[in-house]
Amino acid sequence: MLRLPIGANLAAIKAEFIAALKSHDPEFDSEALVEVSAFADDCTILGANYSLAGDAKLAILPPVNGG
Amino acid sequence: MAQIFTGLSETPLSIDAAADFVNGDKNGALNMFIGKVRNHNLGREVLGVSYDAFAPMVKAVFDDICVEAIEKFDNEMRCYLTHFKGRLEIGGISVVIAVGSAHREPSFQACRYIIEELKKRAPIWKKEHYIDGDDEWLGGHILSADNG
Repeated sequence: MLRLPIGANLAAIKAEFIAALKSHDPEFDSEALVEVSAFADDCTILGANYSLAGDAKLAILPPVNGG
Repeated sequence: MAQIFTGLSETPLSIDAAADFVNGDKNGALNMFIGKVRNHNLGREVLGVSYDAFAPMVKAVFDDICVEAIEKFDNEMRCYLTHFKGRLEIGGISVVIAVGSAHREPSFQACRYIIEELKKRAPIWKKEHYIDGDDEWLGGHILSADNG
């Protein structure tokens, strides 16, 4: 679980997520993958103007290649 | 009668079910795209592919794509779209798309549209398993709020 202030934008959420991954695994080196990943709630991909309004459960969606 | 059927399945996909769904007395064309696992990619010998997906979003994306195809190409066409989740060996069917329409051109266009949009927009990932014991998640299209 990450703790961010109300109003945190997508860039801040990604930065906090990367920091948490590095804290969990000091050898984590996939920042670029997180940067190109989309963040989403259950049904919507979050846009660049998203801001955190309260408790949220978000999914991290790396580049896709179904088919 | 519903015009669209979409889904994500952990059991083998059915070509017959797809053909049956889009069949209709008004339809003179039935177009299908079937995606299969091949035994090579980028010079490496492939044993199989594992598919993962963000299930809560897949059906909504599939529904959106099929509605768009109907609106773009033929308001009366019928569309079927299912994708597999789990591991498939060589020859396994990963995706089945079927379109039934009165005439052939809209069915060709819609079938192509659906697979191309799926590849860009559906939250689905694949990991290839190689003959040397290695495996690798493949890169792909970056999702954005603008293309959903």
